[in-house]
Amino acid sequence: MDSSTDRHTTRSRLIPTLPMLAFVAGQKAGAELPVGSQLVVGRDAGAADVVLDEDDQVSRRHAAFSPAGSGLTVQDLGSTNGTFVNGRRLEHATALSAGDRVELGETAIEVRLSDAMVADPAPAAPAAPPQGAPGASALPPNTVEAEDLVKEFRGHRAVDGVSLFVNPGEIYGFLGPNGAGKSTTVHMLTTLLPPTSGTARVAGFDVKTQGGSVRTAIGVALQAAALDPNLDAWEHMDLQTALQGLPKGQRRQRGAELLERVGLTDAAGRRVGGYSGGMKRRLDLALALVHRPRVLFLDEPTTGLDPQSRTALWEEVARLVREEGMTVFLTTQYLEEADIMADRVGIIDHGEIVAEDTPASLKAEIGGATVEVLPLESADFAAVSQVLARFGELVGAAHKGVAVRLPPGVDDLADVIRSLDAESLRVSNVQLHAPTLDDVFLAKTGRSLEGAAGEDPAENGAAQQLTIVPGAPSAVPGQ
Amino acid sequence: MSPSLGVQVGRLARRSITRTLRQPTIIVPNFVFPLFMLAVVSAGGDQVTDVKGFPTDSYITFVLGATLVQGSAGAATMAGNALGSDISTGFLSRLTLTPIRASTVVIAPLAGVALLGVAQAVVFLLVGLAAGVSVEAGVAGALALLAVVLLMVLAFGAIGLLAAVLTGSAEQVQALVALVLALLFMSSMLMPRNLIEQDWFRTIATYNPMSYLVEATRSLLITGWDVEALAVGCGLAAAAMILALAAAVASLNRSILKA
Repeated sequence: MDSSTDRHTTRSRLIPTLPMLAFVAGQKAGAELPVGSQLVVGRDAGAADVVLDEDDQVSRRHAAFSPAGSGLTVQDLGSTNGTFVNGRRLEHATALSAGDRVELGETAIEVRLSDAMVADPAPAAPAAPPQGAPGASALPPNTVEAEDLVKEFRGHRAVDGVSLFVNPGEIYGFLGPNGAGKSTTVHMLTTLLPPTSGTARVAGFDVKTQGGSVRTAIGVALQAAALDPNLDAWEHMDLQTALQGLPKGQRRQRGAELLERVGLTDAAGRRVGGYSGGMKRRLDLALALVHRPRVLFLDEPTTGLDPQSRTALWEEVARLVREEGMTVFLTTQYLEEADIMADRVGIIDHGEIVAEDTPASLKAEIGGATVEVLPLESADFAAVSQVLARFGELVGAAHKGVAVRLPPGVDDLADVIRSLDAESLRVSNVQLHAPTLDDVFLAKTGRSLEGAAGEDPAENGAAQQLTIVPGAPSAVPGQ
Repeated sequence: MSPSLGVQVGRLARRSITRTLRQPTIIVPNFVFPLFMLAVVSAGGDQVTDVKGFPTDSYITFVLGATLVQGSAGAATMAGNALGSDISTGFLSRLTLTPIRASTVVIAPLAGVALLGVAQAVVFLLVGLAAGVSVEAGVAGALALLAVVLLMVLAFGAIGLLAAVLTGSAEQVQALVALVLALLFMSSMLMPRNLIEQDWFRTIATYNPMSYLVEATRSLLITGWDVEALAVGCGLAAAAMILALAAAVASLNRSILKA
């Protein structure tokens, strides 16, 4: 068998095992493309792998298809006219099933998944580049996978068997209190720390044996902004672009582009030692993006930032995912951040993942709203518990009170207050709040997330609070 | 794409020099303290030269050799501080996440201290010449002296880098200052070994490698071209540099996955 036949045989064997996109309408009707790595569909020949330049309704970079495990995901890349799956407009990265119909502009694509699909997203089985797909490469998908990852420090298990899978183009929120193992996990996934046991692959590469390839594929902004206070932002950019191997002619342009994007152009000539915390964070993020990484790790990126800086950083991260199809692994101890930013959340405690799903699903698991009551007299604790038990299941309280979870759909405090009043029970504080990720954490661990107890419930708009002056009769909220 | 080795070394060396020059609070003491020590020690030491067998009539010439070693020893804390600071701020992690060699990351901080070390040596030598010191080995000897000092700067700097990699802290590297000063004072800094009267002190000075570094620099000032003294001093410095750098790079490679 000659070599050309051999190559042909190899492709023939592999292609049917890969997810296929069958173009059933539009410019490429009749074409079938295997998806072995991320495939960007759009109008711009310089930015898309599959070019639909005859369709005015298709954006420059319209949507991205990526292999995920044994399946396929699709993500809209911020297109003007949207991407639709079975008639529903996409809002975030979505897993596709066999037979799903994806529409963008006048183009319709049918998804074909084989039973013998390649389960390993490693580059061992690269897809043949689709015809007419400039820039189509055999890059593995932008996934993050960990299997039973363990890190021990002198007998202490900081990370205890973490397994997770992050889809391409997804923002994965890794939520947990201080010391839960978030940063240690990130350090292992970014090759900065060797795992004690377990395996992990980032962007398709094994962190233990393919560290160099992992580092090329990722951008990392660690917990503390890793900057030299004696250098200015230009000097940081110059160093980072050079060390990342950017050609000399592109370094200045790329640095200027990123500094402008994070709003530091005016301050770029000042030494970083004089920057505010927010400015340092923004520069840190810009430096992590110099080499156009496919997976971005952000370790508590907004800790210590003022609300304005925090929002600006969130917007930039969302833009990176939306426009560049980046996968983001975000650790945080802020409930609000995980809730707003993450497509899916993994909650970690004592080195173990205790829950993982979309924020909405996690909260839905918890059930209805919770009423938390703080008795004025500690002697009334049992009596208050008895009254609350009439309304639902008693659950752990975050504020040293008594809490009851109301049945789904019930969220009125009035009955609870009346019942307490009828028993002449005086309380100093009553709160009604919709399920939050803190409730999820509480339900899974029996503890409140560190720091969450101190948060102003009104800030996230989830709670009604009624503070009752000691000695005064109970009152119905709103009165 | 990985940058060429030249780009790696060049960029990191430039950064090292830039950050060094922008920290006058670190630079100034490295110039001032050795000169202060030279002034204090040499001022009260002229009668020492009357001791039979003392190799020179000029005590300041005798002590200048130790001053040059003291100045170069400052490289240990400077390089250690620089790397320790990079470790504690996470800058080292940023560098190790780029496609460059771990050895480059570790060794690059030596560029700044090397530049500073040679500049110090030039200043010390000029001050010495102004105070009446002569270089027995001549102009070529003065240049050789700078080369010897550069080697010692690199050796002390490498020891500082190793300390930083092992402790991960700029603060703990500061402990090297006391150690270096103690070793210097327990060497033949103030008196030739054969003229040290106390046996215990002479024994310590004999086993103290610092004595041989001092004697190498001193030989060019007092004796001329003493190949043995130069070979021993430079050999010790080179060995220390190679061992310390190898240990530092190996330690860093163990702690991160530079696969």
